[in-house]
Amino acid sequence: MSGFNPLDLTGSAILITGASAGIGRAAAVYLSRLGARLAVSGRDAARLQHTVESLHGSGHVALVSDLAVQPVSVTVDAAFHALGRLAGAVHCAGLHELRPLKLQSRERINRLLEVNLIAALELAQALRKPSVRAERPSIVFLSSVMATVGQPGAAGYCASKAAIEGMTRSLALELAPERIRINAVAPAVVRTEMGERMFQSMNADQQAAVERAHPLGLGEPDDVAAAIAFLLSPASRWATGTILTIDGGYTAQ
Amino acid sequence: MRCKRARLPENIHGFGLLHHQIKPYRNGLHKKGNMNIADFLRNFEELLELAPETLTGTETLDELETWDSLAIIGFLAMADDRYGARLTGGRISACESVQDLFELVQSAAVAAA
Repeated sequence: MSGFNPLDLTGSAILITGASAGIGRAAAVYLSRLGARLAVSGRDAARLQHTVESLHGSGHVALVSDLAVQPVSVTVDAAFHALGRLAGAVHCAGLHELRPLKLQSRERINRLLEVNLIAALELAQALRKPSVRAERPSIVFLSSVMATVGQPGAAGYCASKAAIEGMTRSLALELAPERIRINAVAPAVVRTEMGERMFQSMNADQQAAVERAHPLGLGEPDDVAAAIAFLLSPASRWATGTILTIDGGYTAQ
Repeated sequence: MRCKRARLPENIHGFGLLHHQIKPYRNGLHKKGNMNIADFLRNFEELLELAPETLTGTETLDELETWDSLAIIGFLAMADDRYGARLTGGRISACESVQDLFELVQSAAVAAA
């Protein structure tokens, strides 16, 4: 059918955190191709500028911010002033490291939770305000397969992603009366720039083991970006509180 | 440095580098440039939960019962915390002895300084 595109986001103003690299950058480019006007935020001004230069269309804005030290509401307000009422937001900013329990600290866990979890909650809180949001906004959080399966040395990260999923369901119910949708995507290993460097540092056996864990192979950033686009678009208007697993079969085993 | 089989376990699937790394936290006793073999051995003993002054540096990693997949993860963190050395599992896999690990961290710390 000519002209039929249920993922069309033409004119929609959308904020993406963590857009200076990886899934955040891929999502920004993908959404711009669907017609969205974007506010992209991240810590690194130069890399963020690269994201902006990769976007299709015009009217996009870069917002340099460190969510570990700056309230997300500042970024949301800046996005609103630049783009007008926001139709959606995606929280791609995140921290992760592998670290055994005996080397963990309250300081490290708190910082990880601040960016992965609390900033996500603050994003929803700020976007909920009737003065800054469009009529039926959609918010997408980034979870991980690590929310449901364990990995040695990743207790903090796993906890933060499991918490994201619980929060997604709770906020979905709380905000449904306001016609605000809350969903999350849960990817496995994706070939981001940093993930690729890690992959290349492994020997052939290790790379094969990672590949075997993903029956469809490792993911590409656009695989996750497409899932994010669906959850932002009118095509998912009946979906809220959903965790959309997109993992190449990683958790099917 | 001699090479041998990979030591990184199969259950490390690279999730550790999917997002931004947390900046290294260093306490006042172990800043960049404060690296010598004695200091390294004490930190390594602490990581492996060995009695102080157990190690001399000549040991092969195969001799160390507590040098396992989780210890490798811990070693990556220790090298970053204590010496500002960003290592990869692949480079650790190439090490055979405690001395090899020391030299690896030392070279990475110098490169990062």
